[in-house]
Amino acid sequence: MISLVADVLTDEWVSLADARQERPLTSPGESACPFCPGPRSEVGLTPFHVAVFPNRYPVFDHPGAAEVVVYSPRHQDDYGHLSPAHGRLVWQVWRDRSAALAERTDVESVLVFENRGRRMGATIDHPHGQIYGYPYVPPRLAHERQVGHGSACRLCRVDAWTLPAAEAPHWRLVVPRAMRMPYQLALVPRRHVGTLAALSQEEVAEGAHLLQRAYRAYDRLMGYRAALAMGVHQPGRAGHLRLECLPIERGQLRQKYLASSELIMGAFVTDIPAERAAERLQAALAAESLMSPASSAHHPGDPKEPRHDHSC
Amino acid sequence: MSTGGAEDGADAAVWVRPDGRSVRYYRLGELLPPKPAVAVVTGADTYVGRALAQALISAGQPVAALAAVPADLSAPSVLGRAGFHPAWEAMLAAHDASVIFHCTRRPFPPGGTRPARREAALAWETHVADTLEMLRRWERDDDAPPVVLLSSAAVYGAYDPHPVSERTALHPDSAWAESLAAAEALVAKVAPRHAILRVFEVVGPDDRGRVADSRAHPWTRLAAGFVEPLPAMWDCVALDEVVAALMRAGRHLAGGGPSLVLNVGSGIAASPGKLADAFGLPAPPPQPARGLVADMACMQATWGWAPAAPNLGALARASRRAVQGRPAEAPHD
Repeated sequence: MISLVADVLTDEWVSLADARQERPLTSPGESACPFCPGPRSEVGLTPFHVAVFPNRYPVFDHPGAAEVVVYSPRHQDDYGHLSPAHGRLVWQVWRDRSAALAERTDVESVLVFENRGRRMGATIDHPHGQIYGYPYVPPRLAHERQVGHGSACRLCRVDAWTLPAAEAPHWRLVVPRAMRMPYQLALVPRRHVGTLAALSQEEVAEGAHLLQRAYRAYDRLMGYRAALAMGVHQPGRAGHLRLECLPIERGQLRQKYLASSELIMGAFVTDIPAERAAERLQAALAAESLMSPASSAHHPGDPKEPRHDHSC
Repeated sequence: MSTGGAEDGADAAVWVRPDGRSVRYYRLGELLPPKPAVAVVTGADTYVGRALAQALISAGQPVAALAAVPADLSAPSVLGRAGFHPAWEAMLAAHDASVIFHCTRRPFPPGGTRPARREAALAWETHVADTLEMLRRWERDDDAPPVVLLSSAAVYGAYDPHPVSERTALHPDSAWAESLAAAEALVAKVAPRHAILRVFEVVGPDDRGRVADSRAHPWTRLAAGFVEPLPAMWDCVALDEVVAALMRAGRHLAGGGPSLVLNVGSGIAASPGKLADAFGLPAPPPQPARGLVADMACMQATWGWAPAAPNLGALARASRRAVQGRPAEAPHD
């Protein structure tokens, strides 16, 4: 049973999907992974590099949609460590499915995202992301359509409110001065486009490589597979596309929790200056050059025991 | 199993599960549009690399070039090194590399005044770090392009017996040669298909009148008026011969041929049909020994000068005139 409940105090929607309590949990290497190819798995036995299917435990379903994007048939893979061509294919699939969902009359906006790592909330370790087709426009996206519209677009003037982390011909990888999470990154196309579908092939190829490089830079910075939320803001024709990476750790095994201020008032607190974060990310990104997709066979695993740090 | 229609966006194989949900399968190559195939040439501004790039272009082969300084090639070129370089990555992303010609450069003149440690650092950065960065670009691709590495016979050190064979143990005796040997090892381990060409002393002017990368190269010293016998005169190999060997190696690998290591110079001089044997080509007609004789043939074609016998004094004067851009005059020897 899925239902949308309106919060009369904030005019925001809350989705209620009680069937999601039944979601499976898998541990690393578990043979019963539902996303590994097999006769009883979600993806069946057909060979693939990337597979997409409706979420068995959806948050939205007519109206709206919830899809799962499995990045690879290999359980131990990771987006940041796929081959460059494979990384580009993932972006092409995001683009394809975003455009298809946006065409539906019961979908108002589309979010491509990944919860990377169990500490970020991923219930299945197999490399995958998701796509939500919201039956409404979330408040943050509605605001972005206002500030990213026309000649006053703030994302076209990204240098004014960010620090550079890496430059490329078609994209900027930047650290917002107002980081909501430590080591937050934004990947912004230099061209004013509002959707993944509007990107050229060259922009897709370069953006895919930069995002892979950002993932690997986080791993290098933390010393293990960094937990993070990645999302693609697609405001459509009224705004400027951007991808956002929000790590949940302020340092090695020091988790940043969303606590009272963030949860109750939506007021974020950060304790790492953007300049220091940009400096560290620049070094990690330079080491993880565009040319060097590290082997997934060697990508760092999850830490065993994160140190709980409630001093936020 | 069916194929998704236009309403589903790009084509993808679709399987409708028994519970009614559909799974879309995407495979590499199905969504990605075909990219133009190119031969990638690194070091396209070097003495050999530029001649190779020009020869490939003349043969109708599309080329993507990486050059440290402008190479004036009629091909997409990026200025930089084979290491981190966003523009280089963008160019690679837009093309399908059918073969990579990795042309090493000599980062400093021999006998220079830099401290030895500085020379060693430069050599290892140029040959090892850059080669590693270049190779890692494709290290996870199942269809990684083959790599033709332009190496040097310097990896043998002071070789004996003569002529040296590819089975001779390597004894690099300088930082430059050591770093080249390390680059060879990297290519051999990381590139699934590769050809390593150990080139002996390359001689002969390119279309700019250059006779080497370095102004302190023995041949350049000769051209500048230092009349002295070259230490390895009979191990010379003409520039056009080296370019031909590189192109043949590229075709050999692109055609699915196995990896190989080949001397270009002394080894060929000892066995004129060796290159043909290595690449499975028809045996060539008998040729005179390569080396200085071949280089003189090259000079004859370029400068219209045909000495009856090697005469280093006349050669030096003719070389100097060519390097200085003056028209050649027939020597009166």
